[in-house]
Amino acid sequence: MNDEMIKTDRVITQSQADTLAALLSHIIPASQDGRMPAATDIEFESYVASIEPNFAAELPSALDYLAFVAGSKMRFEALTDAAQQAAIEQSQQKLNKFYSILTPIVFACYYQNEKVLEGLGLESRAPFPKGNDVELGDLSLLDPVRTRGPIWRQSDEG
Amino acid sequence: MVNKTVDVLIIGAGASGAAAAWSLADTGMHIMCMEQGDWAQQSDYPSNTKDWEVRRHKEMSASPNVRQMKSDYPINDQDSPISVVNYNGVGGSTVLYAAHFPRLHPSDFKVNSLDGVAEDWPIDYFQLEPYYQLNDKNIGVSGLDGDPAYPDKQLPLPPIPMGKMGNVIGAGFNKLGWHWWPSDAAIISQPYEGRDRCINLGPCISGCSQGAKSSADVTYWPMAIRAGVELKTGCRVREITVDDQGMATGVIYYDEQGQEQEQKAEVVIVACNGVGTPRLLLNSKSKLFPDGLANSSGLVGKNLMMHPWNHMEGFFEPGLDSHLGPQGSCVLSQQFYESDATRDFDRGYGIQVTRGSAPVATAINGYNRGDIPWGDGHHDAFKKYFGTNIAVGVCAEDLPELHNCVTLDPEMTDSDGIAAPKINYRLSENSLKMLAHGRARSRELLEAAGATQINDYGQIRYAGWHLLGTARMGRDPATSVVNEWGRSHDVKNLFIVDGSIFVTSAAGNPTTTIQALALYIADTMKKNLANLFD
Repeated sequence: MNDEMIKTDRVITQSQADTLAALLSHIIPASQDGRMPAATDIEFESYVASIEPNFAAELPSALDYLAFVAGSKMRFEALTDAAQQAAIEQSQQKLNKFYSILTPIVFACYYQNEKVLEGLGLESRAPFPKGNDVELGDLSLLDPVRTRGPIWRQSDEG
Repeated sequence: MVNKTVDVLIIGAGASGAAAAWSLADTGMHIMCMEQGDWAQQSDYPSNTKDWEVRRHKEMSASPNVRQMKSDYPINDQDSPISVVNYNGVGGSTVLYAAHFPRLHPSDFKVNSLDGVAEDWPIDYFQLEPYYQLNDKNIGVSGLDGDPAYPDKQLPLPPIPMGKMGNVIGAGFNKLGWHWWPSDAAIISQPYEGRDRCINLGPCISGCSQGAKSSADVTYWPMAIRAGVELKTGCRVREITVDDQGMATGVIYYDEQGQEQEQKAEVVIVACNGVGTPRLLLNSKSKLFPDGLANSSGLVGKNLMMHPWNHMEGFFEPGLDSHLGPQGSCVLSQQFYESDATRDFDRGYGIQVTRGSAPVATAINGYNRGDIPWGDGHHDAFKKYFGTNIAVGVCAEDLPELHNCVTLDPEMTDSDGIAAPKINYRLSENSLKMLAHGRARSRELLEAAGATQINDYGQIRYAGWHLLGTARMGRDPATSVVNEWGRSHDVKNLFIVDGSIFVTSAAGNPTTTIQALALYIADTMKKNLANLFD
C-alpha cells in the first residue's frame, strides 16, 4: 500500500488529490461574483468513488500522467494557472478519452451540489414531494386554431 | 409442478394486459395474470432523491440492456438504428412512459383505401371510440376539448399546464398558421379516483413518485385485483403449450426461484407488446406449430413498426423555465399528420413539443455540443442554456415492411435461458423523406417562435418506445395473425391484445389505442362467451 494513502476508502493518494483539485478548478472555476463555487469544492472524489467506481479506478494513472507532463521540478498544483493550462493541453493527446468521460461526471456532481443549486437560485431538493408550480399557459392563443375549423380527414374520402 | 387450471390466463401486466384483466373480471371467471417483473415502488423512483438526474439514466434507464433488472430480458438491436426501450414489471412500459396520449385518427384505419399503402384495419375509429372514452375515464386522462384535429371527444380532466414555453411555441405556430393543441396526457391534472393531481415533478419517464401519471399499476391493477383478478409476479413464461387439436392448454413458466412450473388455462391472452409477444409465440414451437405458435401466415414477428423520431431543440431568451412540467407532454401539432398528395412521401407525422432540460442534462448536453466550456466562460454559458430550451420531435408514421422484424437470437438468452429477441430494422425511403420534411418544418417553427439557437440532432436511436405490428389483425388468415377481435386465426382459444396487433402505426404514441383495443377485444370476448371458440 502506498504510504501516501491517508484513508482506506480513498481511491487516490494525497498528491494525486492535489493534482485533481487543480484540474477541477480548470474545469469549473468559482464565479467572479462568488455565487458559484469551483468544482474543487463539491467533494468530487467521494462522489466519483461511489457513483462511478470503474472510472475512479482510472483516476490515479491519469492524474500521474498529468503531473508527469507538468514537469519534474514543480508539482502540478504549484504551477501558475497558465502553466497548468498548458500541461492540460499537452496531456490531451493521451488523456482525451479520460477528459471526455471525466467532464460529464464532474458536471453531474457539480449540478447536484447544494451550494451550486442555491447559487443558481434553485432549491436543493428532490422533485418529490414538493413539486413545482407551472402556469397553465394562455389558452386564448388557440383561437386561430379553433377558427380554422376541423382538419381531420373523413375516412370515406378518396 | 402443474397448478390448478384457470379460466383465463393473461401473459403480461402492462397497458393491455391490465385493461383486459379489468374488463374480463366482471364475468366472474378465474382470471390469472402472469408478469415477469414485480411491482414498482413509487418511493424508489429517482424523483424522490436529490440525485434524480443521474439515477434516471442508471437503474431506471428505459433501455433494458442498460437497466438489466432481474425481470429484464436482453434485446439484440445491433441491426437496427432504433433501440428498443421498455419496462418489465406490473404496469409494463407505462411505468416509464411519457403518458402522451393522442388517439389515432379515423383515416389511420383506412390507409389502403385512402392512400393505397399498407392495409386497412379490420375495424374503424368509430368502433373503437367508446373504448377510447372508457379507457380515458378508467385511468384519468387530461386534455382540452375541441381539438379540430379529431372528431368531437371529451376528456375527463382539464389539460396539464403548458407553462411559459407553451405561450412562446404557440405564438410560433400561430405565426405560421399551423395547427397546435395542448397535449392529451394520461396524467391527472386534478385529484381523480383517490389519486392526487400532478405536481409537475418533471421526470415522468423515470416513474411518477406522486402517482399522478396514469400508469397501469396505479389505475387498472388496483381495480382488477379488487374485482378478483389474480396477479402473479416474478413469473416468466417460456412457452404456450397446445394439445393435439391445436388448442392452447396453458403455459410453462419459471417462477421467482427459477423453478419450471406449468399453468393450465382454458383461454390464453398474450399481452407482451410488439417485441415480447412475437418472442413468446416464436419460442412456442411444437409438432403442430413448428414455426412458432399462431404463425401459419409466417407474419409473427414481421412488419415491426417503431416510429422513427427526429429530435431538434431551440434556445430562447432566459425566463422560460422550460425545465419545469411533465417532461414528455406539452403541445402537439397535427398540421402534417394527414396525407397530402403534394408531398414526396406517403402518410404523415406529428410534431411533439416537449420540455427543456434540468441542470445536469443542460450542462452535459451543452458541453457535448461545444456550447458550455471548461473554464472562465462556463457559468455565463450555463445560464444562457438553462431553462431556455424547447424540444421539438417529429414522430413519423412507420409503414409496415416485412423485413423489419423480431426473430429469436441464436445465441443470446435471458437469465432463464429463454432465447432473446433480435431486431432487424431499417428506415424506409418513405420514412427518411418524411423525417426530412419534418426537420425542415421543425426549424421553421423554432425560427417563427423566436429561437436564438437551433440544434438538430437528427433521427435518434433510443426512441423505440412504440413496438407495433408484429402479429397484426385482419380478416384473412393468410395475411394476418389474429382476426378483427384479437383471436388467433390458428388457435381458437388464443388472443392477443397488445400493440403487436396494429395493422399500421399511425403517427403518435400508441398506448391509448392499445388500451382501447384491449377493452374492445375483452368486450367482444364477453359478448361471444357462448361460442368463443367457434
